[in-house]
Amino acid sequence: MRKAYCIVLFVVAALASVARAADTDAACVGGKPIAPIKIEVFSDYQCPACRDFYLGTMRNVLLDYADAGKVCVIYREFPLNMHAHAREAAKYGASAMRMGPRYWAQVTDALYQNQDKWSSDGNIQAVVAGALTKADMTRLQKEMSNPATDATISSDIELGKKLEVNQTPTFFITAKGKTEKVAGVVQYPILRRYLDDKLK
Amino acid sequence: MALRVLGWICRLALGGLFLVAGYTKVQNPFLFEMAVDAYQLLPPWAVVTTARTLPWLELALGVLLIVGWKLRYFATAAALLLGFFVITMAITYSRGVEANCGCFGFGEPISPKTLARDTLLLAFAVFLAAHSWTERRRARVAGV
Repeated sequence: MRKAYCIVLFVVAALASVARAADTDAACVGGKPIAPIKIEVFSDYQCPACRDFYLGTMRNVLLDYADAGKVCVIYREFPLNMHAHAREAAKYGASAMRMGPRYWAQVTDALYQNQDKWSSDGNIQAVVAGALTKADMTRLQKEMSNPATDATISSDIELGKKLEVNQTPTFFITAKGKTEKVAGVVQYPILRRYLDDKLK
Repeated sequence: MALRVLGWICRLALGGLFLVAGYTKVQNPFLFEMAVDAYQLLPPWAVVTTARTLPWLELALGVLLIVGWKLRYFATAAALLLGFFVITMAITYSRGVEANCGCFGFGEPISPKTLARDTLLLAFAVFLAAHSWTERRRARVAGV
């Protein structure tokens, strides 16, 4: 019976930690901050599951919900130590975001679509350069040397740790004043059902 | 006598846990759909069917275990269900898929800890099923 009580207590503690809302001072990569739903994704550019989640699910969310003003999508950098080039890739992503969401989408698309390539040879610059104009690439490199870019990544990682993110992708959905934590890859039709329910 | 007391404890504990698990999921059906989907084992239509059926099955099992009606059948069903959970979680964990357990709530990743906990519950359920079948056989032999 004692074991049963322990398990029940553990469940209550887990629910309480999930209910904690994520801080959201970052800009939306899609949608507007006043949108009724906010999705905050902690992601690692070198993680294959993050690639599947972005290309298969979040790109559709950005198109169907963020562009329609229903959802604000925030992407947080959460490079894992086990991935050798993840931190550098995060720097490209964060720098592109400093230039604007359109650049972030271009760089993120390129990084995820070519993940296998740069993960093996480490040549991230070539992949990103192929997605941007020469002028934009020069601007991006300038942003990369900005200490604020590194600070953004570090603060995202800190925030993730604070929110007990221990795997990628992990995302937080805030709607109607309540935040839910979801870990792992969720297919677009399933996430869509959740979003439609929250938008009712 | 000791076995009978242990049987009661298992029955009430498992029944209570099934009720908690089912209730949490019924309260958040769309969130539970995402938890099931994150296992990456089923197509969307099967995810929805599973996520909409499982919580009610857990609630029904919880009530039936606590009431104790036809205990041998429902204890066996509980053991089979827990066995299914353990196998599914073990497969998902061994594939390196990072997903939430979705067992008693949301936000708890599949880990050796969740596997050990569900295996322990499975052991309780197996004991309860075996014990209730033995009791039934004894009662039959005694002509009750």
